[in-house]
Amino acid sequence: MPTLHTSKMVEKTKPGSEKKTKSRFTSNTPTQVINGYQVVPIQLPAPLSTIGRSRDSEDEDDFDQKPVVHYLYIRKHETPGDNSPSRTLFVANLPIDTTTLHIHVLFSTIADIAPSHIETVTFLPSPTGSSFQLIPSLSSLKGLQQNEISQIRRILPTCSAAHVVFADIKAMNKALGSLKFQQATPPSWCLSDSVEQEIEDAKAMTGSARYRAIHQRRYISSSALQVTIDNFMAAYNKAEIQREREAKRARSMPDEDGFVTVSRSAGRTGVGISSDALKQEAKKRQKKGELKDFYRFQIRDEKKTRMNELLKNFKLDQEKIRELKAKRKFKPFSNKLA
Amino acid sequence: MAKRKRSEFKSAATLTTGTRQLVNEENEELDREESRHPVEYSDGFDEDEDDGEQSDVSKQESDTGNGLSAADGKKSSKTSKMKVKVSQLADDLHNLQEAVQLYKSNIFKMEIDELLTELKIDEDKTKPVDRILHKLKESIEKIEDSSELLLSDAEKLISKSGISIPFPDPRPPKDAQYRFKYESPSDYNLVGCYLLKTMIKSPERFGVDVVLDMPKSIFHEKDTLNYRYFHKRAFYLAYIAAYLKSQKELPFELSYELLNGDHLRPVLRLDSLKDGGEFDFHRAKCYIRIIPSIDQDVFTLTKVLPSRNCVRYMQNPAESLNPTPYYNSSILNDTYLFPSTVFLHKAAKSCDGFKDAIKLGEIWLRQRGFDSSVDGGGFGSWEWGILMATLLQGGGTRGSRILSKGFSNYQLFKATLNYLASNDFTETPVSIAKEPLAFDMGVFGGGPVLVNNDINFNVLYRMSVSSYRRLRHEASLTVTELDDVKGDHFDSVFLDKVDSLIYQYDFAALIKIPLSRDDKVYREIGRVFNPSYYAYFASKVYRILHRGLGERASLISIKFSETSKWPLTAARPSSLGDGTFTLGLILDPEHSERLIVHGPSAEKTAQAEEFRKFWGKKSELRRFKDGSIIESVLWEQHSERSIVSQIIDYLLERHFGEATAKSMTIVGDGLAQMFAGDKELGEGSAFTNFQKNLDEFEFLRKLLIDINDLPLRVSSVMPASQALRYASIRSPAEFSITAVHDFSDVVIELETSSKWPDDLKAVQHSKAAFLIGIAESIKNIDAAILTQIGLDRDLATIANFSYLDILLPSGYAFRVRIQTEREAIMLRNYKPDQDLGRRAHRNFERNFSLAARHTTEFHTMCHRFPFLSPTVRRVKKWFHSHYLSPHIDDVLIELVTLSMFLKPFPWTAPASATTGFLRTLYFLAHWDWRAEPLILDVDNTLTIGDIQSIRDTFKSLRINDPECAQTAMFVAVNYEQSGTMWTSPNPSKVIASRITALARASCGVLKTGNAIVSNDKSAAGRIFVSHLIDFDFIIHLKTMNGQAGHELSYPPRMESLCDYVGLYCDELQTIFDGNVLLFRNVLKNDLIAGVWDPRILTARNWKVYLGYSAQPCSTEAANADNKNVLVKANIFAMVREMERLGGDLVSKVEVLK
Repeated sequence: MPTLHTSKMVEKTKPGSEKKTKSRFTSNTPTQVINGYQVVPIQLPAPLSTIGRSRDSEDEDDFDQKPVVHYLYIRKHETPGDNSPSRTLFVANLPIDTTTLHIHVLFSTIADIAPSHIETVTFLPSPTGSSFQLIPSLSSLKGLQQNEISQIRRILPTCSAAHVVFADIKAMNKALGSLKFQQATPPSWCLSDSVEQEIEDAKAMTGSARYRAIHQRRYISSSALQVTIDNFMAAYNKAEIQREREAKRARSMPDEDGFVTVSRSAGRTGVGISSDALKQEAKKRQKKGELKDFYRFQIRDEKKTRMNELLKNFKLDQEKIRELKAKRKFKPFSNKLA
Repeated sequence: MAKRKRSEFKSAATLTTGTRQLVNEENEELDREESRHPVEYSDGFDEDEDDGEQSDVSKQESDTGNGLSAADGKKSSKTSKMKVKVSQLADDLHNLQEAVQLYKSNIFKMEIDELLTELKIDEDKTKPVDRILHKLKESIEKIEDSSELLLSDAEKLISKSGISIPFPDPRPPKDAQYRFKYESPSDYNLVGCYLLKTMIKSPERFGVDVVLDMPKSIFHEKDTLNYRYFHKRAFYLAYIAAYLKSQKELPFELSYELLNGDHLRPVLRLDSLKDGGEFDFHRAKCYIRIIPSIDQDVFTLTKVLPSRNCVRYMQNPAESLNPTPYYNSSILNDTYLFPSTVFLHKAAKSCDGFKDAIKLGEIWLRQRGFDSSVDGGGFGSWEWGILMATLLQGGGTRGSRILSKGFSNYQLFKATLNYLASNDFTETPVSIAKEPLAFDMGVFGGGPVLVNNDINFNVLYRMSVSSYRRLRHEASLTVTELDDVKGDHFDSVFLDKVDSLIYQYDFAALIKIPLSRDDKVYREIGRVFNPSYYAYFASKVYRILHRGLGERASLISIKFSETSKWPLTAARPSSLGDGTFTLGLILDPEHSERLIVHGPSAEKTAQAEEFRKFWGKKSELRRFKDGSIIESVLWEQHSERSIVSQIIDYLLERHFGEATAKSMTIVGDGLAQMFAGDKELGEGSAFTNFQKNLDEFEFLRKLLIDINDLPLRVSSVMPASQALRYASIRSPAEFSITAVHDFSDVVIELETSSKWPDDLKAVQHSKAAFLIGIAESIKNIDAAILTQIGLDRDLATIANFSYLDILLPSGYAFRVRIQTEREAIMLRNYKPDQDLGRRAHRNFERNFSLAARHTTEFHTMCHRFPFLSPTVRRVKKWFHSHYLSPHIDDVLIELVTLSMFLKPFPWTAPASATTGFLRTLYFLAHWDWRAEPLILDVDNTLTIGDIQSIRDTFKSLRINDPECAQTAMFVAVNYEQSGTMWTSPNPSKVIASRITALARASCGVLKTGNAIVSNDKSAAGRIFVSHLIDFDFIIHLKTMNGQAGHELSYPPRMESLCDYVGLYCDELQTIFDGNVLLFRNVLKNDLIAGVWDPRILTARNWKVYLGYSAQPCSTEAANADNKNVLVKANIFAMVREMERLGGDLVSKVEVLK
């Protein structure tokens, strides 16, 4: 798996740099701060399509050749009510392809913090983002053969955020400290230092490879699906029996006051008889009992409501005509398509 | 008697200004009188206004109805009156019920009132006209008489003034012995719409007609013969023209004009100069016509009866005595100019609604391209008025009256239309004369006849057979529509332009008219019967095509136009038109594409000979299956040329020469050819392809139903795919499964059982288990059938997640899903998350029960309307070409297109795919979806109540959401009355507006530069090209393997079925949900275009979950904590993110804005 490889590699390549207090790229200019968030620019890598495209064709307007900067918004995370010193950074506006590894590389680049000093990275569910059900999740599929499992990178909705928990407060402060000063050039958003590795990763994780994997995930073997279903149904039946048993028990158990609640046995409405139909039938039955137009007041009321209805309709009609007139509708010879 | 009336009238009419007031006073008096009298009714006529149901209380009801209509005129007091009326009605439940019906039509009545007010001519603006008429009269009275002149002298005299005499063709012979003379007119009268005040406001100017009676003394008894009358008349007119031209104090623009396109009768036309002077009347939007006429005692009227011959044009005296009805009627028409106005005036005086009904009639006629002139079909407001006035006197069985004086304007209008629709004036003339017709109907060559006591000549003599058929066709369409109580038809009856070459006909073409001088027959005889060569030629073409096309065409409309005006100085131009006529056909879809024309049996030699003569070398003897040997013509199916156009082409060439046939340009030909060349639409065999797929579906149905080794049996198998309802763009072809949409969706139901679990997730899992079981069983039955289980979504959901792909050995593929009975209810009542449940329930309906229902219904509709399927496929192509694929449900396109067939009024259901396509575009361009719901009634089972409740649903939808944020378009159909199943949330308001704009642009492109009438494919192709400049950014895509027909293998490799672009686009839309609209064309997958939500481009304060990637507006970082720094969307970063996610799918990205 390419991702795993790179993560090891990053760890390997950066052991000594930890000691430096400041990254070699950091300048003395403080970074922009908005509402307490450090604004951290990062450069998004070039797209795959530019690779192999001849440089001669480079022109000013070619979007693919332009460097594009993305902004992260980072601040210390403080849980309200929790007074213990925080070692968590809150990172907002993550690029959609963010992985834990990206975060590792980022802090390693700007603050020389080894990945081992970052305890966890938790991606937060976006309060507005809808759940994306393009991919049947692996967890719900049991009994898959090894070759049926392919890596599909989780993509975040735009503007997602994460909690980055550092191993200790020192590491966090170091990270935060280096964020306060602008980098000479925005750090690149990548998984490794090697360009080739990046391209390899992109080829494996995006584009056709990604969608082929998703497509494949949709077609699983019947046997695998059968196992999953069997597991689910077994669990379901167990739970059902459990529930029934409990319900039975509840029926025979006297409550605090010593009464036994008499309830209907857990019968079900038969298939095909919808509750709606029952309701309608009930309504019908009810109707039968009533007599309409029997008393004089009924007739009188009926008349009154109908007359009001008439007047109302008449006024509505007038209103409608006024509207139509306002729209200059009554012009038979102004051809609309002229 | 007429004479007496006339003098009585004249006293009023001569003083034009006074006249109108007088007339009005009289009318008002009449109003009062009328309202006191009980209303008369003719028997047999249904005076019930809107609905055909004649109730036992109809008499009473109509009384109230007329009471209301009497109130029409007095608008100010209307509201209060209505209230009074209602309170009276409150006493009686019975009356109340009737009033409900009245109220229902009330909006129609109000609309008519509004329309009539709108069309009223501003009286202030016409004031100068009255003054000018007085002056004109004085001035003409001053003209001195001429002496009796021979032709050469007469011409010399007139040419002195530098003008020419507008002699009709043929001119008087050089050696003509009769003498021309001018004497003061014996009478001077105002006639026509200006006097009656029935003109309406329109872009065209109306004519103020002044009739000058030429004195009897200048005519000779024999002047009716050989054009002498018309020659003298022309001189008379030129003499007046010469005089008026010399009068410098009367500054007008003078020209000759043909009166209603009658080539025999030129008149003098006075247009206002825009000089702002005393005689400037251009603001009155009219012109003055001076029309020479004669009194009834000038000629013996029996000599000019239509059955008499007045032109001795042949050497052979026996033949030369053929009747000359057109010529004779022209003379009679001059005779009856004034009496007909008196006749109309009398009718208007006796009947309140008369004048307004004339106006309504005129609007109706004009929208359908009719007016009194020859090129306008010869039926205008004047003929309409005469017909109404005639029907006020009789016309029914045993002389009963068709119209009653108490009718309101709308009742008069509708009853007259009804009469037009249900009576054939060519078979039985409209005649209320006491004596039988003095001539034989046949002399008018199959044309219509209308005469009455007061106007004893055929008012409809200018009407051709073709235009009369068209009039009846329009009338019956409108009557049928008006009889339908459910619809709202005001717009289509009065406001919409019906006459349209592009949209009205199933087949339309422009054809050149040859030069009249080359037509020997016309020059010798033809012009006697039809002085206009265009009309002559058109009627000839009509006869040939009528015969040749037979029942293929239900209407053949031939129209031409002649500008009838020319300057005084010029001689009459030899041709007044542009040299083309338009041919429009309404086809009968059942017959139009039949391959064989059946002729008479070979034994009937005379008829067979005639048939051969008509069809020429195309005619052959054939033996048919039933053993008969008959003359017949065989046509060949051709992908680019319909049978009808082949027939027309052939007949034009055979009967009118190659040049005429070659000159034909077919409307929409470019478009049709483009479609024919389109490989996706795959013309010709398309229907049969669908049929094969359907046959295979039947096979599958049997297969599934027969499975018996499962706990439950399959109880029903329902089609739920476009390909199974003839509606997919690409017709399904065997062994060519290249993409997901080549699988036809199928929904199956299992036997009812009480063993289904009570939990939705468990139900979905059980369904998947059943699919696995079905796959097993199929494998056991036939190992050649391939199956594959697939997942739609995650298993942890309450919605259906499993499907079964079945590949049949015949090369067709199906995708089967199971629906269970209780699922719908369980989803709707899903307790843990009601919102989720509701959404899932909606999806369930859309993809299962309704998909199946719609497929069945639409399938039926495609059989009922043979051209529905090709039309809907073309319309879909248009939608996809504009990258709207992700935003519009196929069902929505299908329903909109279907509505063109279900509710074609004011036209007929399209009988050609191109016309259907154009109509749909036209509809989309005009549909005001903000205010109008689209309601379809596929089998005519919706009741008024249903429609009302759908409208109410729509209304409350708009009240709750006036900005159309949730639902833009609203389309309800019998089986989906909520109206939003296929229109909400997509297309959104933005997309709906874009659809309207694109449809307008497309209609515009076709109209401008006549792109529609050229056979240039590229011009037509432009309406399928979307300008990328409208988008904010474009992601160009590479063509992937497995797309668009790559490596066809069967069974298809699973990889090759992967819809890369679809998955990519869906994922992008989810990631950037709410920030961007993405567009693509599923047919091409060449690019994904995007438009940002404009709201995210504006600067705002930063917050954590802004919903989009943001960047600081300014980069000045220095100050420690600047709270005022605003942020805006970082669109470059977002596009780059999209591009990077696309990886190797993307070839290039452009950011345009």
